[in-house]
Amino acid sequence: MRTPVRWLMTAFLLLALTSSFAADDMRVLNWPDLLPDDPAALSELSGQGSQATQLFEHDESSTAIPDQPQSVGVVDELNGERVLLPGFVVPLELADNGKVTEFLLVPYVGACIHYPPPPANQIVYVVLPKPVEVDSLWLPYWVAGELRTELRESDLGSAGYTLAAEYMELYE
Amino acid sequence: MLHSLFSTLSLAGKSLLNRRATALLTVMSIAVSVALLSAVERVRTDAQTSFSNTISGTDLIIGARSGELNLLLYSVFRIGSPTNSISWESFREISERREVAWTIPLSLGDAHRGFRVVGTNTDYFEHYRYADKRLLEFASGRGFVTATDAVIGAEVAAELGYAVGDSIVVSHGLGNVSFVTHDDNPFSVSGILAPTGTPVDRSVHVSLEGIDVMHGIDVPDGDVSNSDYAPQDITAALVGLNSRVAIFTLQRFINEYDTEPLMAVIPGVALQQLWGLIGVAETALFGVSAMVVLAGVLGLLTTLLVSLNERRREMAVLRSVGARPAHVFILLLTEAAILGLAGGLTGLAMVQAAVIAARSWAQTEVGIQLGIGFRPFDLYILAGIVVLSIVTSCIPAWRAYRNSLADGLTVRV
Repeated sequence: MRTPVRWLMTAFLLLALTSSFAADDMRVLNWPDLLPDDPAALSELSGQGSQATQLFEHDESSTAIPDQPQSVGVVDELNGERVLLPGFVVPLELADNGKVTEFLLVPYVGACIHYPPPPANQIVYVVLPKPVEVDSLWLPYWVAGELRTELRESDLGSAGYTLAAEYMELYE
Repeated sequence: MLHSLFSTLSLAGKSLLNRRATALLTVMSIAVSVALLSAVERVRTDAQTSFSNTISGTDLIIGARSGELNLLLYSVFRIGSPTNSISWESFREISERREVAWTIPLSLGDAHRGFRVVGTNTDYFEHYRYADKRLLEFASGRGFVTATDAVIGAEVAAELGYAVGDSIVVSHGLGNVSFVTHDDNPFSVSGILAPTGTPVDRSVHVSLEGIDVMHGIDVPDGDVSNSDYAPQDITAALVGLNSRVAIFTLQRFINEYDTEPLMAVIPGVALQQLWGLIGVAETALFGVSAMVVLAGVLGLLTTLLVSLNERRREMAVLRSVGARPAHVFILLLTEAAILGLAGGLTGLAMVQAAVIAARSWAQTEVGIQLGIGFRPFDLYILAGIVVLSIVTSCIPAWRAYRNSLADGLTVRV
């Protein structure tokens, strides 16, 4: 009689321990954490700000496309880190049941045309192990998984982050 | 046990056979309701599969400025008509941007015997991907080499009985019959694509030179498979990028393009919008068909209840030969189960027949590839209708049970 109870207790304890470990080693990130904080990057960011003002003032240069700010690099320490990141989904690939298999995670709704497009290091390319149903592009999601930094083609503004997702859920 | 079950079944069957007219009508009303429910669910899943499978690996679709869905539908699904064209210069400027890996020009608006004609270049066969990034394959023949070569989809070949080397005449406009045909410039089939289950199967592909030949514009002679021919304009273009992170930059560049009003859509986003739109209609349709199923089951209940009075003598005879009231109860449940099962099976068979009949139409007119064969949800519907029939029939069964307790052999009907 006693043994099964003890077994159950142990199992429960182990489960509690492992799940708390999982939560511990998963780092909750926010979008500014993805920006490297070197001076070059900061100057790039302020440049972006002035461009926005120009847009509002409608001066000559405002007809110019609010271009994607040049890549300001990635935070190398985040490479290989397991993270939890909230954001909006821009679906890229769909499975045949209409569920999403690959998407871009961005800090604001992808269809937003009031801001310049997010810089490359504010876009995370997410690959899902199994398709997930995304109900709305207007609702934010939590995405968890291993983050990788990619440095290829950095001159094209395409250096960025890739996330191999483990799970995702609606942000509440 | 098995023996008694079998005898109950045979008794119920024989009793139903005796009242075959009403039984048949009940079966039909259940069949129609089941068919409706199954058809709605089937069209929903098949539509989603067809739409999701048609485009894969393409980062942006470019066209004249209109609506996101409109552009997606006419460029990829070949539904509806294009609104305007893109000048070749703009297309070239976009193709030459650093972030662009490949482009596929599409020139739409013509037809061959009801099948849409797609003017493009050989990049189409190299870069167009469908269903989980699969590339197009040739079942026979090869891509276009001369300006009057055509590559046809699997269904075009099957339906019109074309083989490599046959000559075809392309007409201007989208109709099935056109009075402006270009007999003087017949095309010849140079290749047939393997089936894909996408609108590609129902398309006739010709080179961009071929489109101009059709409209009486002189084009230079020679190999078109590797030419840099510049037509006046094209209708749409598919774009693949070196890095998907650059999607927004290019999309913004195109949406704010100064020279002419263009727009770029991300296929996944536009599809998601399509689901949203279809979702409302789906829910409504599903609700309506569920109601129809309910009506079918109520019909069954009515028939059974009404028949009870006529069958008091039948029950009394059964009792007299040794049936217990519980047997009468079970007999009615069995009857309902038989009716439900027969109705369900007939309904599912009706759906199969309808799918076979409507397949070709659905593919041409609405771009949905309907699959033949049963699905798991068909089984759920069948099980559901049988259970529902049995549960509902508890009411008449209970009354029959009460009657058989009260009635003697001399029933006054």
